[in-house]
Amino acid sequence: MTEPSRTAEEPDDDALIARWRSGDERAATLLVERHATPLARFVAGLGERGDVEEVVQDTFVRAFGSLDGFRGESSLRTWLFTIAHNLVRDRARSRKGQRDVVSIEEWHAVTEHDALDTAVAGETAEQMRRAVQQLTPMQREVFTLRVTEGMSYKEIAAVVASTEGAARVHYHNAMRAIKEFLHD
Amino acid sequence: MIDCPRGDMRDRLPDLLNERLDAATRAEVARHVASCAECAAELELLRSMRSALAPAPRVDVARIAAAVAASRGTAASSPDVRPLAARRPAPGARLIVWRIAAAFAVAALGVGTWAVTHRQSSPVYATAGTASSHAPDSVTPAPTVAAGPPATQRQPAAAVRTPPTAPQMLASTGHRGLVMDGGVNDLSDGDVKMLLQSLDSLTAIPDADPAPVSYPIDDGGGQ
Ligand SMILES: [Zn+2]
Repeated sequence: MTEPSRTAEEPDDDALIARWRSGDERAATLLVERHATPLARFVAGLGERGDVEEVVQDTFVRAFGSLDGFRGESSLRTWLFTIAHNLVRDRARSRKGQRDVVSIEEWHAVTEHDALDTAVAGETAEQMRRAVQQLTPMQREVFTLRVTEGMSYKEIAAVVASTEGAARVHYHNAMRAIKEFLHD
Repeated sequence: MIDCPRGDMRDRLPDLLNERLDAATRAEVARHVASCAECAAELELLRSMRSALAPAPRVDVARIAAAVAASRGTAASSPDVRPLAARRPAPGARLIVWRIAAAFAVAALGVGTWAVTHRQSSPVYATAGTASSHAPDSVTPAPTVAAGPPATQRQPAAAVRTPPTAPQMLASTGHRGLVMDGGVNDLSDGDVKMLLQSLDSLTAIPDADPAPVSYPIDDGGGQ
């Protein structure tokens, strides 16, 4: 699902970026295929209640539109998540005053929950999602980036414009809050 | 649930879960988890959390890719001081055009000097060398240009059959010939001045384009 490792035959992001820069449109499609679903999950998890696909598309358009500014110091993935984070934050600001947390029902609506695999029994999974819902927005974002997307604290710090140390604190606070919620 | 006192190990559980550890660290963390009930429980919790949070909204990859491609065209056709670029929607297509233009430029100069000297067997190569001595970083010799799209390989030959204006420029200076197998040092002051003027009249290469591109002629040449 979020498997970072891939087979040796698949070109890595840097190779695809180079191909895209030299005019290979297919490379863009491969990059979108690779990153769109994790981005959509991330955007939905941030509580974006508008058009998730619109945000994801906007993320890619902006990323590809400024590839010249991308120097490969961070991974393309981190860069995409950073752009998505900023887009969602800007959209949230533009509708200031509204609550920022999406309800479980809304989450089901955007994630097509019925199509879920049964790796986690329904009721347990529901409890876990509720546990994440009760986190602060920052804890929730850091936790999902760490656990669901497998990012390092350094990558998370880049995405949320914070420090590695702060990301670590948010993660452990989130973990403690989740455990308390599940064991109450 | 009690937390394991080994904070360094707990910190790596998400990395273990997502297979983001190198072999040695992975083995170390896995060994700890095997002997630590708290970490084993936390790892299982993380695995369950990840599965519970895995569902993602479905997005149309083709539509997004199309939007990316469309935005590329829009960006490239925005107001631009580069005449060739402004007519071409995609950087890829633009690159080919620049390569063709480069081949024409090199060929035209080559033929021009050939026409003046009447004794040079490979004008394209010789002229590329001369041009390189003026701007070594931005001029690609004809053989490299020919490594691009097949169309560019035929351009120098086509240019040879077309009367170029470069020889007229050279002839108008009153100099009878250039020694092509020598360097710029072998040229007279008048030759060098005339060559520099003709090079200055060529459009500069935009920074945004990939490096291996040469000079197109924007006035005089290729008409
Ligand atoms: Zn432990």
